[in-house]
Amino acid sequence: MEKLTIKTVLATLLVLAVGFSGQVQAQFQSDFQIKQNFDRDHAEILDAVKTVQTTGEVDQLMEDLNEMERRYRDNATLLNRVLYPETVQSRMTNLRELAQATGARIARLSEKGDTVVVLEERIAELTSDATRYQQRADSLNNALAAMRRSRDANAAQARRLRQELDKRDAFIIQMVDSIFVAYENVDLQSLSPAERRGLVLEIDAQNVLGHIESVVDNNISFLNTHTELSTEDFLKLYAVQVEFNRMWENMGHDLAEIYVSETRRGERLNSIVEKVDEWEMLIDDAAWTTLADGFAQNNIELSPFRNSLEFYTSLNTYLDEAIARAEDNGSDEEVERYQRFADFWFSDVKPRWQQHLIDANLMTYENFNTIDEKLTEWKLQAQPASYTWLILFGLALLLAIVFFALWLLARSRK
Amino acid sequence: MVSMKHLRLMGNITAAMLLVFAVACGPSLTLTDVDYAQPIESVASPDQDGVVQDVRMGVSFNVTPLNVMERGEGASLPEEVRFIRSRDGYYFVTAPGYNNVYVFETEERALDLYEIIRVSGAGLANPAFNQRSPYIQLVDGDVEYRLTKDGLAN
Repeated sequence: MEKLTIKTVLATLLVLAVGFSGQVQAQFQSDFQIKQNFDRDHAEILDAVKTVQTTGEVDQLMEDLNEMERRYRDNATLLNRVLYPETVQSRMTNLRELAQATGARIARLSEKGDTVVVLEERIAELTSDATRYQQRADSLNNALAAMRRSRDANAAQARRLRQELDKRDAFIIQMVDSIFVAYENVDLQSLSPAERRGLVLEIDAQNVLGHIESVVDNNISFLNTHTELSTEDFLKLYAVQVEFNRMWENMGHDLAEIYVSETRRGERLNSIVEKVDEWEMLIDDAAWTTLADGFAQNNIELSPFRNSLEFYTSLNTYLDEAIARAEDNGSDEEVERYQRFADFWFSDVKPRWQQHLIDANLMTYENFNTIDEKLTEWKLQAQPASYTWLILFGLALLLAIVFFALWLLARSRK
Repeated sequence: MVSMKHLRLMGNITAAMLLVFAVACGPSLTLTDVDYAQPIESVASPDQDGVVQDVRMGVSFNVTPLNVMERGEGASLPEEVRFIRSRDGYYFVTAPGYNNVYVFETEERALDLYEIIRVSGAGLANPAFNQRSPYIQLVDGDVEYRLTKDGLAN
């Protein structure tokens, strides 16, 4: 009992001593050190927020934050002055919001799985860029509308503005492509109704369909109002439409699957499908018309064509007939006809249209090679019949006569 | 006998003299109740030329002459210098190993020594200033000093 009492007294004295020294230190703490400690603690929690992995760790983090706030409560006035324009409160609020956002993300990941969450984030990220592009496109469309009203309007200006719109269209296509590449990693069939609904809402919230529809609307509007563009311009637009179609066909199935049982959204999809068809019809019409005009203006009379197969067939037929004609009767006129076609082909079609025709899947490199080979054949056959051999034969005959005459002369002298 | 005419003339001359005096002195305006108190001390390491600076507070000065006064010619510069500005606008400067706190008043692009306050015989081990208006608190381990521009307050 006596030993216990001594131990108790010693322990009490020790506690008092430690407490006293702690009080002394706390009493004379350096303000600078307090600020340093606050900065260090803040940085540590910020690092922890970045690396936290589980909801349990997030809870611990929130507890650490509360403890930190309690620890610095008495020094808030000092810290507020040295943190100006921030305050202790604002710093703590920021940390809490970060921790909560991280916690919410971890919770979503555990509920939905990585892929869907990453997908949702990707949609949000890309959509903010798309919105920026949309604003730019709106201003360009306004400029186009103003230009149409202006008497100075010309194709060059329209083309320049169109190029700007193309950039934006290309981005939207890339964006939607990117989203649905991510969707390919998701087994849509395996999603629960709630998950499916979540994705639908995300797509709606980010206005993915709105962005897609705006690409289609802009192009329809442009094609309806700008008929003055060149064949090259229309072929470029054709390539955009083909690229869009590729993307649309890829995603259409996925969208339909996600929107299965959503009547209103299904109707929205059908509306876009109809517009895509209209866009395709308009660009098809414009491209083939200007392409035919291009050949006609160069006095090359191709048989009528309304699609890529007919165009290629028409070219081949024209060249086959020309070669057959030249084989029968090469002439200066045929050479002139060949030259006209070759000039147009090598000066306009190949340098300016070939790539767009290929990009739009209207022709292939092999198709162009075939036409090139036929042109070479036509060139050879088109030359008029050569008189060189007759001249050579004449010269040889003349020489033979001269030698014969000389021989006769020599013989007569004998 | 001074007539009213003379009095008026003298009054006009006095007014003109006052006007000339006022114009000669230039504009005069004093803003009072200024608080220069720096909320937290600055801790800075002297560069190779002996210059310390606090970018946040926008102040820099050369501590070499101060170090010569404290430690003598040729002595090495301290690792760090600690300084703080009081509510009245005086700078309090010291460093680990120093026996004194140096009080400076500000001049145009200069700090003039105002007072030397002796606080230690063996050199301060780990000094730190705190703003405790109207005093400047100097703590060194478990020792506290309350300073004014004129010396120890306690």
